Amino acid sequence: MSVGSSEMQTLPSNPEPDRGRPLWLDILGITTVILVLVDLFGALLWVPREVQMGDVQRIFYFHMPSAWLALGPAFTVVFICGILYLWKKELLYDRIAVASAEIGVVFTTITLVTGPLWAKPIWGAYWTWDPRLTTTLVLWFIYVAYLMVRSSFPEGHRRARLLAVVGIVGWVDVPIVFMSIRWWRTIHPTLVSAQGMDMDPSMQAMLVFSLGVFTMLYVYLMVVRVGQETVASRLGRISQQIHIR
Amino acid sequence: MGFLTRIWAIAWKDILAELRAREMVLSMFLFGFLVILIFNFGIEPGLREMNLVRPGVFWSAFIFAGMLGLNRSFAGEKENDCLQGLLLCPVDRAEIYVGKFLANCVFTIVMGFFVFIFFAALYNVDVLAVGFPLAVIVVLAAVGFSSVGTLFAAVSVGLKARDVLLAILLFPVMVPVILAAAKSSGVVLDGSGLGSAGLWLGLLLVYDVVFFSISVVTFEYVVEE
Amino acid sequence: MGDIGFLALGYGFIWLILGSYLFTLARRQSALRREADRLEEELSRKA
Repeated sequence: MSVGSSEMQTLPSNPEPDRGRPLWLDILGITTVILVLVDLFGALLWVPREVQMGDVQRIFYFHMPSAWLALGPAFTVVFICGILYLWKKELLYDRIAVASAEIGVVFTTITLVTGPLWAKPIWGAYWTWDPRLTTTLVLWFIYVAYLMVRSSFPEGHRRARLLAVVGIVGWVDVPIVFMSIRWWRTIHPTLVSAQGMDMDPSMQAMLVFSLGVFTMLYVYLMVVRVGQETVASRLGRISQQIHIR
Repeated sequence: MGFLTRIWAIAWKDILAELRAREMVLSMFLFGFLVILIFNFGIEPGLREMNLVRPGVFWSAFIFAGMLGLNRSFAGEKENDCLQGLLLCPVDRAEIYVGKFLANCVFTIVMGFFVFIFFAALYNVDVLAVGFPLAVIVVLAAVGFSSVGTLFAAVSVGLKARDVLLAILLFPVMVPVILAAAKSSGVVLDGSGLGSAGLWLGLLLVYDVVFFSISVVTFEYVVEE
Repeated sequence: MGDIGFLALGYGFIWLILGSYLFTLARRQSALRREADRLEEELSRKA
């Protein structure tokens, strides 16, 4: 059997165990972990106690960055990659999109769990139909639908096309959903949810730092996930080529 | 004007097929009636707050019954490989979409009409007074529903979990439509004119324009083989 | 539940969710590695 494809020649066939990952990825990973721990300590111990809400408010330093990351970058990446895929037909964009959607679900879930846990002691109810949180809930469903479509189809260009369309429609929908819920709540404000927080400079700094840490976490998870998808794709192709012979 | 005839040909094909078989619209009506009935058993009749609740009851029935229609919209095509045949015609993909969208719109509006009659009877609605404004809202909602609905129905066609997937895909995107439709019809049912619901009608209109346009453009990518 | 209880629960969930995701990532990683080994083995058998 002739080893024709150059891809086969790059398979690790040497006997010594190779790390399989580039060094910079591990450095990024360790740095991320350290920063997340620093973030945790900062939020729990360093930052001053909020005057009106007490210690429960500390969850905000993880809740808000998660929400921002999920609603903003993560989902927008899915949208942009959808358009890029439809334009360029490169499967790489599809891989980036799914990675972002998965990580987006993780951050959205964190937001949806920490939000009510923060709301209950402060406003007395787990769910207050706050426009931002409610939109996040709708967003969660859109992401999950996206992932379900993904698992319903075999890998390939057709699936990538469908996902691109779903990602585009979903992203356009989110601001409309937010506006409609906001109008709904301002006209009938049965449960008021004011963002009454006094933030002194150290708290603002903590928030910005936390935001940065979460962004880094997102980037690291993205790199790992996209890498996995790329490898999986390659293995699939190699497997096909082996069986054709 | 060729494209208008082609679009109408595609829409008419679906409508004619349904007029002959009659199974889809009938099940849509029945399902819509049933949903309203079940809601009635869940909620105390003659409640003072019934006016606050009844728009929600109608629109829930509308959405669920509408889903049935959407599911069948591409199912017939898939079974007999008609979709292949349709794609082979010298017809622009966007025209196929608009044709199917029109047919779905018609079915949804007709369903809305009959479900409303049933609803009006159960909830003592003065049909003559609110009929026209509600018809406007139903049409706007049907357009929004059918636009994304037709697109997503094409996405989920042929899958085993087609029905469930369509619902999971469609409902989150429908939130603005349900909100706007329920709020504006609430206003109308309580006696005010369409003007008071202007904000919500505007939202429906914007939604319809935005998502119809997106669907027209992206449909070809969905049905591309 | 006291205020601190909610806080603890919140952080606990965050770690749980992040941890589960990292776990699934690691599992996929080893599945990929096993697949690569399997293909390597098939290649050497056929060669």
